[in-house]
Amino acid sequence: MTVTEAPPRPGRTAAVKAARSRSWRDPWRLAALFALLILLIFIVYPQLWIVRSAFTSDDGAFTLARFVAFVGDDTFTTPLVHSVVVSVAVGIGAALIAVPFAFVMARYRIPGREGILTMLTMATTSPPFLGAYAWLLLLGSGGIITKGAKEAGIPLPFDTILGVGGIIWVGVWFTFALIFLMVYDAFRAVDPALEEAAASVGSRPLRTHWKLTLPLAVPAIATGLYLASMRIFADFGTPMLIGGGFQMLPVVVYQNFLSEVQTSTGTAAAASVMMVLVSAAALVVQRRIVSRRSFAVTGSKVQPLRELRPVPRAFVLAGIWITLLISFVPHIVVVGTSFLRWQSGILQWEPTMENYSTLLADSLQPIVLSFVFAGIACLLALVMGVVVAYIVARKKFRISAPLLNNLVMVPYILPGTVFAIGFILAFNHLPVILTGTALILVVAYFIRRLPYVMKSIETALGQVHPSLEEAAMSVGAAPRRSFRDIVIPIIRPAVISGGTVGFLQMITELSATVMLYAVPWVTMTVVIFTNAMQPGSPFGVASAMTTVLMVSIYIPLYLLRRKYRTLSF
Amino acid sequence: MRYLKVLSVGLLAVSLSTCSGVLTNNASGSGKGDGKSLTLYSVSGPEVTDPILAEFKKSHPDIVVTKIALPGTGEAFARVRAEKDRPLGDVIWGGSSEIYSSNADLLAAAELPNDAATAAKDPKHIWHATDLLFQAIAVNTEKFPDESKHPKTFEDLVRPGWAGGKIAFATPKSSGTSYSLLTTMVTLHDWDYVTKFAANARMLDGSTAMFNLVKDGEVGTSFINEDLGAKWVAAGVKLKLIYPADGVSSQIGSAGIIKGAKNEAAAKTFVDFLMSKEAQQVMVDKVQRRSSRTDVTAPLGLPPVEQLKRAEIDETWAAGDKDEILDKFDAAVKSAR
Repeated sequence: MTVTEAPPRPGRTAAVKAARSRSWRDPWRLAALFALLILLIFIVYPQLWIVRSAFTSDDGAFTLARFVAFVGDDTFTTPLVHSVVVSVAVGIGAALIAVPFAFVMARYRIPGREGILTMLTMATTSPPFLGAYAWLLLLGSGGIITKGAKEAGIPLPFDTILGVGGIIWVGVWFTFALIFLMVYDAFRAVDPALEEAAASVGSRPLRTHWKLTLPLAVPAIATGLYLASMRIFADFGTPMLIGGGFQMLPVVVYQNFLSEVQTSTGTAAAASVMMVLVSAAALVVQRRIVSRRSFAVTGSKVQPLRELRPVPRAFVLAGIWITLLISFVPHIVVVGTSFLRWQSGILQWEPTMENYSTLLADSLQPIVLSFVFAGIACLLALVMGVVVAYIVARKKFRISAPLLNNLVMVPYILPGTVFAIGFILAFNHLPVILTGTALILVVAYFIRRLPYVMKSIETALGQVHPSLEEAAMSVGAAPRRSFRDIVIPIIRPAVISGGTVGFLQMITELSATVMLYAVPWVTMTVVIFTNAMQPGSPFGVASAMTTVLMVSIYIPLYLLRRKYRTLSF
Repeated sequence: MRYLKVLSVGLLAVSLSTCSGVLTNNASGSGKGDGKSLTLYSVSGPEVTDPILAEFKKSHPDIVVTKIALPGTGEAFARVRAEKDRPLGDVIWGGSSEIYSSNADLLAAAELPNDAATAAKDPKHIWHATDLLFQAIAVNTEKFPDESKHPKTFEDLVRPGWAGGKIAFATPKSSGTSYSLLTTMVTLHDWDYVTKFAANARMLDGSTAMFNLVKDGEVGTSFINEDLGAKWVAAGVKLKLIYPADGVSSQIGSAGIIKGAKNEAAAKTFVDFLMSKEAQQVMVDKVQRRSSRTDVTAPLGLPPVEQLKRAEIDETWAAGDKDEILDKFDAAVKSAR
């Protein structure tokens, strides 16, 4: 029943020749070149130093020795293996939560669905800097829950969250909402006619879902898995905070670039290149799944919502709310602690409003600045994301499409701090001086969070069969018109949800920001970081700023979702 | 298509105007160099910098200090290095002296009036001592309650029958605190000691983890910077600070002037102020860190210097043979496994 891509036609040479002469008139080719130029300036050129130092020995000669170390030296092989295993484990764990959750939400009438969807969008951002810390405060060996359980005599399966289990646990809750949003859109987009057809030939619902609905969502699941795994693969803060010495590759990269005692830029650069290679390999798998799979949308009929019987309904509701509760633990802890007194970084159980009064005594300009920077960057990312995603998903340009696809993902893998150093090296001299300006933050946000925006749009496009556009063109619509009338409406939900998540990730961006900012361009994340940077810092003020940050992004998000409810679904 | 056009034109307008506005108003980027302002790269939290900056504002109302907080000494020097051709900062403050020495190419030597009054001095005048940090052994008395078994010396940490469990230790490759502990261990004992110590240690990625693990009771024993330890004890953490009787490791908290700083005169005034008696009094009273000067007494809650046996480290060896020392440490860790 599903439609797959036609195999390449015979008689290639003539066809290819014709296609090539036609293709130069294709405005998308120009767009591809333009996008490539932007990525060359803002990704390749700033990060070229990494590649250079990875292949240069300490005395300046060309060498591959730094990569050889990745085969034989267990100071590198161990972290590499750890990182891959943890990333895969997190991806699978997150998918096991996200996929059933998304299916239920997409198909059944759930009370409070708008609220739940809004909360899931919110759950894609964890409180910057303090998120993993909150888990430690609850489940560390001196944690609130751990201690409470010990006193109450309840045996826990662990002594402390510290260690590899903790990294995976935090990672799963940190990423499952990303997968959810992708897969939910996919389940919603499955043409109900396909399922009706299956039913009409006698397929039972369960079989239909297993054989038809789930496979149709595979591109979205693959992309979500890819994004979630890569997010953990590149995450440096979580292993640093709750790894308890468990070695992972981003930590190796970070320390070799930035440690205070001994750095080895070459080693760090080689490790970064390794990370990009692993990510490229994962990208190949993701692309293969997305492009080989069948298409779900041939019409644009909306999935109807079905009723659940009372008993399953009770289970489903309980599951949904427990999942939501756990994923919001970091947020709840941070808000709670913002009303408690902290002394030299130690929580005291005394209620106070002091954190807020200290915060409000300072300028509130960071709130405004954060919104302006993230807002502009988000718009740029959306325009660029649509263009790149369309080229990658639709135009099989032989060179520029895969190049774009891989380049876009590079900033997703590089630790923010390392990414930022490249920016300073590239843009602290003529012809382009960006350091010390606000623009460097805007550009950094745009480039660093573009991958997510682009991937969500690519996934949505992957579900729409090109025949729809071709049909429009065959009845005389110009490519521009078919893009506007066919493609835009179909990818709009993905643009909105991708844009929203992109914005949330921009406004909470911390690691590149703290390396790039200059006064007076102080964002909310800088205030949070400044007040939590050392173990004895005033964490209460950081919690208060985090609370203000979350309130100020979640309220507009809620209003936005309410306003666009009818529009996006 | 119209709304797309409007959107893109609007976007272009916004980005162009931001671009031009920001480029011309290049805030801290091009300091005016008028002696009235300076940009400070700080690696300490506001709990350290704010009281002293407030004092500076009082005594030097004509100089405006713009503080940029950076995650750590390594990150701060990485930023200074990346900006080398067009420095945007004037002063870097925080972290210990040997890190300044190994980044000497980024710093401007300057002999300042108050240099003479500090206990530790840099003969090359690259770093300027702003405080003195001793490291104590920290014992979490909930995790490791048996007082008779608590260590009193470095030696005790490797004795057969050690009862304190794993000792948290940040890798000296990335933690200056651990590096000074390591050089102290080697000076007081030998590399054989380090191998035995490594067998008892739990290796961590950074000093923050080393401090936090003993605070949270994840381990019973660790090392800690004494000022933080004393503040945590005051805040109710069940910690005991033990200054090893066979020798205490220490670091010199430092500041330096960035080479090519646009506001060099103001930078000199500021760094000299950090070492002045009034600033050092604030360092002791409000920040609760030891003064770098000989004429300011120890903060409340910290033992006077005279009571501690300070380990004498050969600085030329510690700074010059760093790579070799770290290689030997790696080897010791591997043979301990």
